[in-house]
Amino acid sequence: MRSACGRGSDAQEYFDGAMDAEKSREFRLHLEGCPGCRARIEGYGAIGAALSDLNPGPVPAVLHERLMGIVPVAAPRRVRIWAAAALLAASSVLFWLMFMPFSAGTGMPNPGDGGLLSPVRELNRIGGMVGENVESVASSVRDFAEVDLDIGAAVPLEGGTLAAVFAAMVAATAFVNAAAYRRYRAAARGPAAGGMTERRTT
Amino acid sequence: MSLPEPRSEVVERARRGDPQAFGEIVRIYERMVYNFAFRMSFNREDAIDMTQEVFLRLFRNFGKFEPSRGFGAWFMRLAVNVCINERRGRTRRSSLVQADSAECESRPAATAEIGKDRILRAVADLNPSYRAVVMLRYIEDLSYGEVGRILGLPEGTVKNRLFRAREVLRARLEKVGVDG
Repeated sequence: MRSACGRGSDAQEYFDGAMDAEKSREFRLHLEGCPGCRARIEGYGAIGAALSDLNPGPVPAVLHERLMGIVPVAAPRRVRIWAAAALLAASSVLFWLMFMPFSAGTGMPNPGDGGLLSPVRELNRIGGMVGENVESVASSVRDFAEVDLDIGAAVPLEGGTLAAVFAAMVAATAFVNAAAYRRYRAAARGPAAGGMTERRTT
Repeated sequence: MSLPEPRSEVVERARRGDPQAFGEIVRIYERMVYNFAFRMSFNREDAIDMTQEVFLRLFRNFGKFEPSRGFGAWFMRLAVNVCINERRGRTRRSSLVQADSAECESRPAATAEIGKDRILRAVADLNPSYRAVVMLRYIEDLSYGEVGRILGLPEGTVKNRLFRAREVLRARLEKVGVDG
């Protein structure tokens, strides 16, 4: 039944409790003589009653798990991306060290300079220096502690070793990225590896 | 009832990717979002998908949240937009009440059931943006102002939209002989 009084909007405010006390009192008086407004308010109540029956129950456990898994998976992903970036940068430096020609004396790359050292030989020289330092530290420790440490001779780093380290770093970078991406995809689908199959809860 | 509002320090930590803080936000809002999604979709599986999508979007868009604004309204606006857009993208409405009223926990008595099913069917046929207003007002029991903050609408527009939605429902229910 439609109200012809033109106070439909007031009926809504009254029903929603959005009217001040005085206006509310006045509208109650109006309601007594207006069957249209009464019907409208009853209708609003019936809609509310029907909607309150539409209750999905508690949040399904599978959904809760998925939601709680969004950040614990995603946050380490960010860390892994940084780790991957650092590995990549380190790999690039190694690559540069291995393949750029070095000018004798300065250590700066200088293509076209006749006095170039082989980069691998240069690296071997650096590795030898590091090894000598290790031996020197070991000797000091030996003197101080009066123990017979057998560190052995300085072990120079070789070009092949560096190449292997470089390859390992590239592989680690790829692995870290792939693992992060896999976990991210799994998180987007659900906590289980085959998250998409876990949707049905009833 | 009013929108729950987590402590600002929790929101800030969640924004920086703290899993515990994000978990707290999940616990505060998951039921509200899931209920709303269910009432928008009338389907439990869709509601699960929508809720998950809402929190994934929250995680991805946390950087866009300005701490000077209230988190609750900002987040619920995101949730409502996701549900409205998802709803528009799906075309399962036809079988909704038959298939899904069976999923509801409490079932009305047989005589009243027909009337309620018709009301629900009429609600399901509402335009999603009207339905969102109706659900926020009826189920979440939010004030016009709060509904407006969530939907980004002035209070007057919320009142109008709600009134029109109710009038549409009443007209449809009168047509099928239910006292709406």
